Amino acid sequence: MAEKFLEVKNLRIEYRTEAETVYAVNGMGFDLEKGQTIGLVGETGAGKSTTALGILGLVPDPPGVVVDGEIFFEGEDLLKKSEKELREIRGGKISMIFQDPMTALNPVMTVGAQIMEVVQLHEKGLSKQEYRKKAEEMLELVGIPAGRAWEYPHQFSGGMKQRVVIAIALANNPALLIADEPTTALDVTIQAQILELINNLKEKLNTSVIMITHDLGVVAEVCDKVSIVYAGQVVESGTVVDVYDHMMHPYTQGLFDSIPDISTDGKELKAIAGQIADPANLPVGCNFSPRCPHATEECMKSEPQLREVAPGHMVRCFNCTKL
Amino acid sequence: MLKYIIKRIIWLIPVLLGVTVIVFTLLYFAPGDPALMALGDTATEEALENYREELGINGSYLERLGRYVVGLVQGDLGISYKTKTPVVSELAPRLAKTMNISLWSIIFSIVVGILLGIISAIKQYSVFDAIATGISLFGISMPMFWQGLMLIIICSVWLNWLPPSGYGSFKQMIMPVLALGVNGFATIMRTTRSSMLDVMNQDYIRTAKAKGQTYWNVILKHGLRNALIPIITVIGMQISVLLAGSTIAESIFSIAGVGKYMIDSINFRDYNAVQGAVLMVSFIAALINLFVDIAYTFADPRIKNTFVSKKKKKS
Ligand SMILES: Nc1ncnc2c1ncn2[C@@H]1O[C@H](COP(=O)(O)OP(=O)(O)OP(=O)(O)O)[C@@H](O)[C@H]1O
Ligand SMILES: [Mg+2]
Repeated sequence: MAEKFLEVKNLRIEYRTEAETVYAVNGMGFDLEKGQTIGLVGETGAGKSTTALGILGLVPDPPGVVVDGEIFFEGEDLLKKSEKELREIRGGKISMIFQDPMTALNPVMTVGAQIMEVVQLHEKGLSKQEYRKKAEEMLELVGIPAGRAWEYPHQFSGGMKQRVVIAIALANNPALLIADEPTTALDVTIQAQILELINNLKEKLNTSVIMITHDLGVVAEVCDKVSIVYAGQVVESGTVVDVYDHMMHPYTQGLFDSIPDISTDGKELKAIAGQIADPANLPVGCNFSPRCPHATEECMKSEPQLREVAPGHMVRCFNCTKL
Repeated sequence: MLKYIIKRIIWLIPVLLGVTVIVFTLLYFAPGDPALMALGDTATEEALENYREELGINGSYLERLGRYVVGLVQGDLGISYKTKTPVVSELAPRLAKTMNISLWSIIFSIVVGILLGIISAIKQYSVFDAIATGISLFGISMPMFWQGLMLIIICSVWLNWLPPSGYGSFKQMIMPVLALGVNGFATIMRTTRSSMLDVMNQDYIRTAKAKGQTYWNVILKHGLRNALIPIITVIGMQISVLLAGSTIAESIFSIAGVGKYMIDSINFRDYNAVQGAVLMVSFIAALINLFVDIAYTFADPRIKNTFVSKKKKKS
C-alpha cells in the first residue's frame, strides 16, 4: 500500500475551560497526495483553524486538548513526535499562513528579520549577509520591494503584511503549506495575485497545500479536492467536480445556495436556516439535523458515518441518495 | 534619533530651572529665620543682618533667587547654615553613598523582578507563581519603613546575621538595598507577569512557534521583547519612588547619604542644605527619566519611527 503524503484520521480536539467544553474538531479526516491541493470549506467556528493547528502541534494548551486521532505525514504520526522533532518540521517541511495578518507579525522586529529568522532556523551555516539576501529575495517574490525589508510591520498595509506572512511561510520551500484564509484580508486584485503565487509555488516545487476558506470561488480556482466541514467533521468530500457538480449533502447545497449569483438576477439569496451548530453543545444524532430541511427521525437519533456514494466521493448523510 | 535625544537634553534646562524656582520659593516662605535661630532673640538687628549677609540670605526674594541661580550654574549651592561650609562639598560624598545603594536596589529590583515575572507568567497558576505573586503583593502593600524595621529585627536582632546600621561593607549593604528595592521588585514583577501573559497570547507568538523557534527564544526574543514596553515605563516610575524612599532607608539604617542629610537639615532649618539636596535628587530623577524615555524608543520601534519619519520629511 502506497503511503499517503498526509493523512489525518479521526482527529478530535477539544477546548476545555471551566465553564464548558468546546468540541471544536470531532473526528476530522482527510488525505492529500504530494503536490495536491485540498480545500477545507465551512462556516465560521467549524474547526478549520483548530485542525490546522493540530497538524502543527500548536493547539493552545490549555485549554486545547488533542483527544484522539492520527496525523500521518510522510508516513510518520505527528501526534507521536517529540516537541523537538516537531520544531524541526514547523517552518521547515510544514508551514502555515495564519488567518489574521494584522496580528501575526511581531511588532518590534523588522519584517526582514522575521523572514530571516525562519530561514536561520532551518537552513544552518549561511553567513549573515546570505540570510539577509534571502529575506530580501523572499519579499520580492511576494511583490514587496527589497528596500523595505528592514522596516517594521506597522509601516506596511494589511495586504502587504499578509504577503510578508506568506513570505515567511514560503521561505523554506515547505512540502506542505497550510493556508488559513490567506486572502480574506485582501482586495480582489491582490487576492488573485496571492492565489497565483500559491499556484506557481505548487507547480514549481510540487508543494501540497491545505487551503482553508469560506470562499467556494477560491476553492474552484486552486483546489484539486475539497472537504466541506461542519461542526468539526467532514460532511462531504471529493474532487472539485464531485462536490461542485454532484453535491449530495444538504449542507453543501445550502452553502452553494447562499452564494450570490448574477445569472439568477433578482432571485433572493437563500441563507442556510437556523444557527451554526454550537460546538460546546452539539445536537444528538447528525450535527446538521436541526438545520436540515430533509431531517428524519433517524437523523435526530444516530450519527451518520461517511459513505462513499461514488468512487472518492464521500458524504455524511443518511438520506443523500434518496434526495 | 540623535536629534530627539539632543532635543530632550535641551528640554531638561527649563525643567530643572522650574524645579529650582519652585523649591527655592517654597523654602523662602518656610517659617523660621536662620539668623534668629543662630543668634537668639537678644541679638541686635545689625548683628542679624551681618549674619544673613555671611550666609548669603540677605536681600529681596528676586535678588536671592537670582543669586542662587547664578551660583547654581557655576556649581555652587550656597553655604550650609549649620556648618558654614559649601553645600556642594557636603553633598558630594553623601551622594556617592545614596547612588551606590540606589543603584544596587534598582539592579536588584529589575533583575529579580523581570526574572520572577517571566517564570510566574510561563508557569501561571503553579506553586511558584502563587508564592512569587504573594511575595510581590506583600512587597507592594507593606510600607517600606516597616519592612526595613522588620528586616533589622529579624536579621540583626534575632538572627544576628547582619549589622543593623552603617555603610561600607557588603553585609551592611544587604538590608538597605533589599528594603529599598522590594517595592520596585514587586511592581516590576507584577508588571512583567501581566505583560508577559498578555504578550504570550498574541498571534505573533504563535507565528514564532510555527517557525520552529525554540521554547526560550519564543519567550525571550518574541515574548519579553514585546513585554518590555510597559515594563520600562514602570521601571522609570519606580526609580523616582526609590529615590524618595532612600530618605527613609537612610534614616532607618543610619547611612550618611543625601536622604539623611536632607532630614537632618530640615530639623535644623538649614534651608540651603535642604534646597541643595532636593535639587540634586530632582536632577538625578530628571536625568533618569530621560534615559528611560530614550530606552523606550529603542524598545518600541513604533515610537522610534515617528522621529525618523519626521527627520525624513524635513530633509
Ligand atoms: N483558544 C480557544 N479556547 C476556547 N475555544 C476556542 C479556542 N480557539 C477556538 N475555539 C473554539 O473552537 C471552535 C472552532 O474554532 P476555529 O478557530 O477552529 O474555527 P474556524 O473554522 O477556523 O472558524 P473561522 O472561519 O471563523 O476562522 C470555535 O467554536 C471556537 O470558539
Ligand atoms: Mg479560522
